[in-house]
Amino acid sequence: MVKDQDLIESLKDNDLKVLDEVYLKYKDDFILFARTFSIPKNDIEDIYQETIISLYENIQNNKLSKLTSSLKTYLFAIGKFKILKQLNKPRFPYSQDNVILVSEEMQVFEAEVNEERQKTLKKSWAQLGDKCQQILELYYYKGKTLDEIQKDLNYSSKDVLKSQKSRCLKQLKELAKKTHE
Amino acid sequence: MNKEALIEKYFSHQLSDAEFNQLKKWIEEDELFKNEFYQQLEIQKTISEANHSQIKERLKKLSNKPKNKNKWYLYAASVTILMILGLLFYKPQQELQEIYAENFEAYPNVINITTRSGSDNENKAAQAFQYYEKELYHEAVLAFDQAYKNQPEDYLLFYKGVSLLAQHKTNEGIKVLHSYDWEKNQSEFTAVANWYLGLAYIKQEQLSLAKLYLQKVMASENHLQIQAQNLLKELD
Repeated sequence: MVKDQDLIESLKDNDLKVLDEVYLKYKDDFILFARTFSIPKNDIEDIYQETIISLYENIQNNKLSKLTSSLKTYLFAIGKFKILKQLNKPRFPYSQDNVILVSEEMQVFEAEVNEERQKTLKKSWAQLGDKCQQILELYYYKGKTLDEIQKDLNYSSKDVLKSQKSRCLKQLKELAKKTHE
Repeated sequence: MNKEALIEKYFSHQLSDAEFNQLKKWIEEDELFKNEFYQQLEIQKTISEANHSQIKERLKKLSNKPKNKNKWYLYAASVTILMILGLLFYKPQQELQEIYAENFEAYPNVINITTRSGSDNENKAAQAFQYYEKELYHEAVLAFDQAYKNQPEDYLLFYKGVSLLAQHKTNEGIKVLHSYDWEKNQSEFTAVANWYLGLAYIKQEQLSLAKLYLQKVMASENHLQIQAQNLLKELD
């Protein structure tokens, strides 16, 4: 039997076939698991796909490098967070602003973003310059520290990088405002 | 530690438990900080969605692959052949017990019962699963039994059966697993119930029955499919 840790290593090397394998392996059990939360059957598949993607991301971003539980336990903990999120979905998408969801189990925060806003942001992101995309991706997606980014991208100092990062955030916000209008 | 440094630590996955709680407290108490952090989380989400749309498509396709339709006639035929072969070959006792021991493992708890609602039935079932996870199978059997009487859910019966098998009460376990028609009720536990029946019959040294149930697992779409296939090879 393949050990879970080996699977993690393969996923780190972007082996998407392994991702397919993991996806299929736990699918039945996940459906049973989700069913006990009275999630409509049609939504379960989507939640499961999002769960697998989160797993893959966490490995890619070095958030998960060494498993302390079985892969299945880890996967289901992510899934549970997504299920509970789905169950607590606010009914009026515009009634609350800036809701931050938290999973104590995974020690994760997540912004609740409505669909329209998400679309706007996606468009603005695509318009943002390469340099800014690179910095923000390293920081927010790849989990790199400012020190690491400074070294990787050859910035003369951390402060220079910091102000560049602020400028990028400001640009993105302005683009979003423009796209929205 | 200042707030900026804590945020950096959050995004680079370096928070300790105490720091995580500190961050949570700030979010709850400081509206300005919350909004600032929210905007950063929003950006993280955007980048993540921009990056994973391809993988999502890939997984979707994987799910839509045409499924194997019920091939009952194929396994019916192979079962007949195997039964004949079963008569010709014979495995020494010792070996079968070893095979059983190697393959038997209590099925993980895939049912998540929370006591949130606090209903009596749910509490009973939750209690049963607690025993089950602690490998207190004797207590688990009694608790599953009670829970099932109150609320006949297929999974309660399934876990009761597995708990009996785990205590080496193989005959009783088989009886319980047979007391419900998984296939007819299209239970999602059909394949796993068949898997445990297959194993139980190996323990009982009833090879043709063991093979019959393992064949069913093999023809299912369950992840145990491959294990069943390997086990069948081993039995031949």
